[in-house]
Amino acid sequence: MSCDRHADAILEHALGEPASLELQGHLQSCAGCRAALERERRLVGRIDGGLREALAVSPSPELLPRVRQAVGETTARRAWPWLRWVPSAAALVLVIAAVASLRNRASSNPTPLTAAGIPQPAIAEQPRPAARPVESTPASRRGPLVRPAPARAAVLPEVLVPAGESELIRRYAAALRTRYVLQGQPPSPELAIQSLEEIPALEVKALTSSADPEGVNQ
Amino acid sequence: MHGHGDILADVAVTREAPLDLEDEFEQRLGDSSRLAFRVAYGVLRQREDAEDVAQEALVRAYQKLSSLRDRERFRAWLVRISWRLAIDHRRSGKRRELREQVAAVDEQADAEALAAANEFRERMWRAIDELPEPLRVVAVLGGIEGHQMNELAALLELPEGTVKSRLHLARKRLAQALR
Repeated sequence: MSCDRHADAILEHALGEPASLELQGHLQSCAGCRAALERERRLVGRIDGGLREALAVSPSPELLPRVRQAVGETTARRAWPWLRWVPSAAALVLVIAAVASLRNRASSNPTPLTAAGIPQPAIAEQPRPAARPVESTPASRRGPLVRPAPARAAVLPEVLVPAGESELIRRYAAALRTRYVLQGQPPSPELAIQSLEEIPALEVKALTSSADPEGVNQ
Repeated sequence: MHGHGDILADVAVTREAPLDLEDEFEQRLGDSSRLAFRVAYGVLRQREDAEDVAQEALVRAYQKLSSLRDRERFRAWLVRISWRLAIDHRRSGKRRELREQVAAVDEQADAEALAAANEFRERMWRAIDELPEPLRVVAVLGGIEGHQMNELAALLELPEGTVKSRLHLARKRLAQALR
């Protein structure tokens, strides 16, 4: 159709652009293009009106109260910025308290390291009798000094003993403890030595294995 | 419909004596909430979603208000954040089902005219959705604010000539799509 070349100019004119002289002359002589221009104008008007109508919406009355509430919460967070750290701080305090509680419980209630049947007085009440035979042993008879296993250090007094005398000293210490518990006071070393036969062999072996699991003192 | 004097009213607010931040925001809230809602609605076409986006945009606007040196740019900033939040909301797939329909054209309109109006509006929104974003935002804001180039240019922070050519191109593409 020969008028097709004017289609774009007609739409432009319908959108508000001024018509060129050529288009003006054509429209005067072409009824079809004048009708097309009217159709385009109606369409453009319908689009403009449709958009205005579609967007002439208003929010519900609840929007403003919602915004005010949200803004109020924001203001509160700004006024008290440290409030955001409260939950984290509370959690941290709880964790520290739990760890401290566990450590206290572990130190006040140590795991018994000795065999059943040998009483274990509290460490603070022990007079450390096991150190005395070591001091009385001549230096020439002593073997190399060895340390008991580290696990014992928190439970029993830590002493350095000659490697060859560890078994005797353990049995002596066990006898002392037994006497101490039964009579309420530590016995003399002589009495303790005399009563070594009273200590059941099984208990001494258990103590030995627990005290020296790697056998370094044997 | 939003009046054409809103920009000037907004300027008047900013040139008065300095207000407390909350008072200033409260003073802007009525007009600004409607603008944010309509911009979001132009993207989402769902009232509840548009209100959610408008609320978030306004809270962000409040948070930024104190740091906004040029308070005359508040509405432009609000338009931009509302548009972006609405686009993000739409892309997130959280948009509610579209149920918006054309209200009764008028009391005399018959069912056929109503159906035709609904059909045209659906086609129009589809055509708008297919516009490139720079044209789409101009078309929507033109529908909200009218075709006052100085207002649109202020809201979009673009030269008037750019806005005019974009709006013209957007309307032309819509007309071509809706013939």
